[in-house]
Amino acid sequence: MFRSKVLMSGVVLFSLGCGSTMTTTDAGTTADAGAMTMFEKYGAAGFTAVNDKIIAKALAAPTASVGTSFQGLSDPQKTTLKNNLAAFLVQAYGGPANYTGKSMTAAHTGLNITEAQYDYFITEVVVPALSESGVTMDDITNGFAPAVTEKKAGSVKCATVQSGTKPTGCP
Amino acid sequence: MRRALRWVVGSGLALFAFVGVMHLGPMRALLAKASCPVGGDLHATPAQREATRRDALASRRGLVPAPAHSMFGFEFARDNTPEISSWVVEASARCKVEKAGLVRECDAASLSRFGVDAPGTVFFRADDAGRLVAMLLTVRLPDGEASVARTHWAEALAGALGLAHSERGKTTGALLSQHRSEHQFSDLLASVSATQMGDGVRVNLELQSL
Repeated sequence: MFRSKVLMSGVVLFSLGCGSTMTTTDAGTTADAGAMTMFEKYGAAGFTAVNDKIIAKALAAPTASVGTSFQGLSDPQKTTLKNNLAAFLVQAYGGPANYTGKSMTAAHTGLNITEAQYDYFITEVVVPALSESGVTMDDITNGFAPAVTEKKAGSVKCATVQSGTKPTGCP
Repeated sequence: MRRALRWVVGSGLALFAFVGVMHLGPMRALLAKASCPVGGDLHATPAQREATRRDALASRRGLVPAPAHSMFGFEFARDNTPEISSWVVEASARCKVEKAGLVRECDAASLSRFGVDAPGTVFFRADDAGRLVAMLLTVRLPDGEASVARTHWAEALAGALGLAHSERGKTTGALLSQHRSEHQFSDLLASVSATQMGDGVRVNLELQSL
């Protein structure tokens, strides 16, 4: 059902899990050895700006999983979310590996996220957050998109599990 | 000695009771505000969720009111339950309401009411009083059809709201390339975007009242 699915769309959703179950992400870095990573290019300040915009846009969303569930967070939860998302983004794009949250697949399991909700997160939250923060279209396409799209069905498939069934590979 | 012992035991019991009470019900919110690591199970009310939505949109607010507050037969800032129910029947849409009860997500075989004859999804967002505060139309289409849909929705917005206040980007074959136009009023935000997703273009029309 979901081909070319965007992995990063789940980052915010699972960030609240914050169980120290893994020290790696599903995304991986964005560049070949020797090439400048997105973190090296845009730096901590750039990632902070993107992170803040992602949170703000997610809180404004009119949808469910990205939207009202975020709006329902308490202040401590919002802080956890923000910190986890920042750690994940930095690690996923070549910065220090300090993310200790859940894996994508584990974090998405059972959330009943629809394709429309996923796509909303990518198209109305992530892409505008990147472009408004000064990330060039070339970098969005060549630097950010590959890492967020190369892992296709896994986490999304588990995220969309309806009650009672569990696709192969989901925890 | 016995008096001191009584004082210690009494103080200990009082402290124990105080800590216990502070972790009950609404008192937990006070602890959370004091940066204590509690509050993970506190749930915002619908009114609080709506306030959060509006706060998050505030920085995008424009200077003048929108010239119109209705589109496609739906009017913002009032209860649209009859209109939504009517469209659901008309489109044979399948809807589900999210847990907080504010968002209705409807899949339809055709969004013909909205000028796009393709399967798509419509989100209706209400506030805590049941008034329509946001609407999102979204379809995923092949490149050529997506361009037609984006143009149609952009023209629909322009017809109701005037020229877009901003327009940027271009949807190409490149992954996540995006064209976006936005209207920003003091009481309404509207946008149309078309984003290359690799296996089709996602076209969104979003309206949010402030």
